[in-house]
Amino acid sequence: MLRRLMQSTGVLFVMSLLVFFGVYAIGNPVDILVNPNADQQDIARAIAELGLDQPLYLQYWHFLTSALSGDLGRSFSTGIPALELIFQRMPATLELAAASMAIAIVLGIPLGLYAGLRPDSKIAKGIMAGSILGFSLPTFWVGLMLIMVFSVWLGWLPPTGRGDTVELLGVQVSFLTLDGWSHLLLPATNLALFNLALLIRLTRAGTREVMVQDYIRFARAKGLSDSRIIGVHVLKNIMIPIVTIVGLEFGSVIAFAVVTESIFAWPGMGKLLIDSINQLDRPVIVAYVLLIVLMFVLINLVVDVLYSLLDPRIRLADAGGAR
Amino acid sequence: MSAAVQSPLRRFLAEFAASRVALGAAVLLAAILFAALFAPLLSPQDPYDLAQLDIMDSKLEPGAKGAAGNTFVLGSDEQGRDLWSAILYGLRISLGVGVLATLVAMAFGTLVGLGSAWIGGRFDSLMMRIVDLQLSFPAILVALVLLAVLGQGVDKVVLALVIVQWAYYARTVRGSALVERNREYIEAARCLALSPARIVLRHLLPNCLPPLIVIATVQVAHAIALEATLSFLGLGMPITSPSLGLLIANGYTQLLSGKYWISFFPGVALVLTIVAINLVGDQLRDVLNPRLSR
Amino acid sequence: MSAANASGRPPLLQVEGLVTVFPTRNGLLRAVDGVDFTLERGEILGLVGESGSGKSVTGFSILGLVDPPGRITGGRVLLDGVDLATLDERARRAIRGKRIAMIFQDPMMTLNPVLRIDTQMIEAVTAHESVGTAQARDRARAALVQVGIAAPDERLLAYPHQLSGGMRQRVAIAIALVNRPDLIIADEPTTALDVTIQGQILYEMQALVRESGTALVWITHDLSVVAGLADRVCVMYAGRIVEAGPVDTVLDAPRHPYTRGLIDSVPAMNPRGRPLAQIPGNTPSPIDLPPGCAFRARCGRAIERCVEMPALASPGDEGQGRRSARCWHPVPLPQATR
Repeated sequence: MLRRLMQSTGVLFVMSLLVFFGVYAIGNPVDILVNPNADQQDIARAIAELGLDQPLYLQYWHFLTSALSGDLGRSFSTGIPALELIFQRMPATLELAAASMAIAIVLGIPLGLYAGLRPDSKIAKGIMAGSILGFSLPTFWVGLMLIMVFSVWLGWLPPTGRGDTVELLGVQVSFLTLDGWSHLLLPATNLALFNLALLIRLTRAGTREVMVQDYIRFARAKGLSDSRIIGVHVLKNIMIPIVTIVGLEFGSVIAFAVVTESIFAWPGMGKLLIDSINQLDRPVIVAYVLLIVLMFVLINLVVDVLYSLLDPRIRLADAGGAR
Repeated sequence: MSAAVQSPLRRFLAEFAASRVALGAAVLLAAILFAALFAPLLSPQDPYDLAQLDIMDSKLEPGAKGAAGNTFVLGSDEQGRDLWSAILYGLRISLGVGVLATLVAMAFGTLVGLGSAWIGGRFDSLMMRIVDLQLSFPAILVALVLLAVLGQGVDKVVLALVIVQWAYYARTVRGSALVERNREYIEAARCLALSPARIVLRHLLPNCLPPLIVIATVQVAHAIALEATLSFLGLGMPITSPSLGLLIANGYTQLLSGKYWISFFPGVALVLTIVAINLVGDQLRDVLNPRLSR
Repeated sequence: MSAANASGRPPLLQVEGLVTVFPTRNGLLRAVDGVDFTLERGEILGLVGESGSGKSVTGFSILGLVDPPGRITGGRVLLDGVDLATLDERARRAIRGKRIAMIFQDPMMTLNPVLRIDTQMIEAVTAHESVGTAQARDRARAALVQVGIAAPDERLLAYPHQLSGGMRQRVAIAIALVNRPDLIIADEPTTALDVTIQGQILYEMQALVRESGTALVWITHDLSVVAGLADRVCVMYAGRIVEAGPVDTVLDAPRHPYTRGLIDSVPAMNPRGRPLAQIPGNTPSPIDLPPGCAFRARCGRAIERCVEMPALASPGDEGQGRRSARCWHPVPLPQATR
């Protein structure tokens, strides 16, 4: 565990270096970090403020210490601190990501189980063909098609925006209002497709692998019902890789939300990133990148912990100090 | 046995054609490549020669006739551009960028992977750390950030795609090279005192190729999809190189007003390309890797 | 058809003309091809054969646990005179683990790695009886004690990987015993274990079934195991029983040349100093077997008539023995051994 923590810190450190060199060292930092509309005086002040006349390692130190104290600069376009701007948008993205994960899990595991239990049935083949499409179709195009069909042609769901939100524990959420749901459904489905396909495949592969194991036959020989065998003996075994992947994919979902949010004009941090890139609002970009790296590292840690909780074999190895 | 008489290539082709879906995908892919290659000959107009465009033809439905009496099979866009022609030209750009990026990434990744496996030690662990680190982040994110730093341009898109992809090759090649390295034929080549470069390139590399080909095929599809996504977001190809993603982005605003075709048909072309490549890649994997085939 | 024994009750288990096939790419594999035997209450039957002879598939077929695409295409399995094929899946499930239990070959694979021992034992009880968890747990604990596991409470909380192979097989045996079945089918349960553990488990198994009056079908490739354990023995070859009878009769004076060959290739049964005999040739592929006796290609006693399939019958020169062999040209009886 301690080793993992140190590794994670290492990753964060390396990424901060990369971001620092990417933003500060390549090209002219003044261009990148100072508002392009600033006049000569502002630029001179900024150079002094940023300490750009100091040696590189001192600049990095300055960047690192202010980053650690939560100061990642202010947005050029709004003047609001970059981190604050992102934190404002974060609930929307997290809600979208959680909804899409829920869709993927609720549909993916049963479909994958079915396909794994009856691999030769027509339905199973249909499910697998669908999952291949889910893998290979570009997310953004599927999003467009969803809008085209459900918003433009059928007129069932609104194409863009977040709809009515309600405050829950100090955070605006949309899943508590009908209007919020209607806005959430399309983007969440869009974002879910890849993971839905992934979960179907994982569950199917896991099921097929587990079903031929002796312990399943032994469970049958004990006279257990099918529901007990599938619900406990099979599911508990395939849950280990599934939880791992679901956990790890949560980071990817947040990253992919960039695309979905742009299509559906969902006011999350992904859309903020694209807007900031287009407006050359670099402090926001830097803040976003550092934050998402931190998120990935944290997710990896959590998944590791979950994994060891789920798999008794790992737990023992840890307790025995073997790892 | 007749199987023994067949040349490896013929057996390969026979096995590949055993799946009808894969065969269909291969034919489709060939057609797409042909269309992209001979786009100027197949399109009714040069979509980027402004002299050939008539603003009166703007946003025509598929099958409508234009002011000059010509038919717009797939309709036209805002500037009166024939979509069929635009798609053919767009395919060229999308495929070109995808293939170029994949080739460069493959070359670089293979070099790193071979070097890593051959040299081993510190170099190996450093390289694999980098690979692991990079692969733990989604490609789209890495590419977005790179383009945010690098700025726009065809060369920058290709560079971003290369950086996103190389790690896959490096890891795969290293894996199979480590297996092959301990085989007897490498031992034999060493005993002959061949130069390391010769052993690696002439003996090791060819035996690592099958998995590489499979990955490269699928990666072309990924690269094309990623480029289209980036272009759609306005961070990929510049307006002067209208790839399929850019065409789709242009039609996006029209989509909401019911003029679906401006986005829809370039999207279909993109999807057909990607699915065809993926299906061919899947079958290649099954044929080249008997261990995986059922 | 169900033959009644002396007490008027049908035998515990009757297997009649059982055929189990597996479709393969190269044709239909008749893994079990017309197997008949009966088993009385409390009786121990040794089912002996090489790997691929169909002995394990016979065991799985009795329980109705043949993996698809394999399926039973002929014959009947009667438990207490009731044809199991006439029962619905629910009723068959009620028999599995309750009246007929099974123990598998590899104890490393038979216990679910992610479930604790108590979970796996308690569910075996509650699948068949509506008893509370606490009561089921007591039964599980008692079963563990029965199979000689020390510190049963601790073991109940363990995961399979925390136990040794022998311990796991004991747990599997305890699971089989926990519902006091009428019949246990044991599919080579000692093969994967160390020799010392093998002996222990064998001995304990025998004591347990004798004590509880449970019938036992012990599937093995090892004749020496059967010699000390079973009442009767069936020798299988290429999906068929080639010789069956009381264990002493068959082992002392085998009539089928295959049984003879098997006995001669057991090191312990061979006089010291003589090279071990072996059966020439290989087990034939059970796909598209030629008609007639399947053993004839390897048989030193094969005669012209062997191209016809002999019936499993009492050899003519033996009178009304309880032994039968599937051979036209049986090994002669040893002269004046008694």
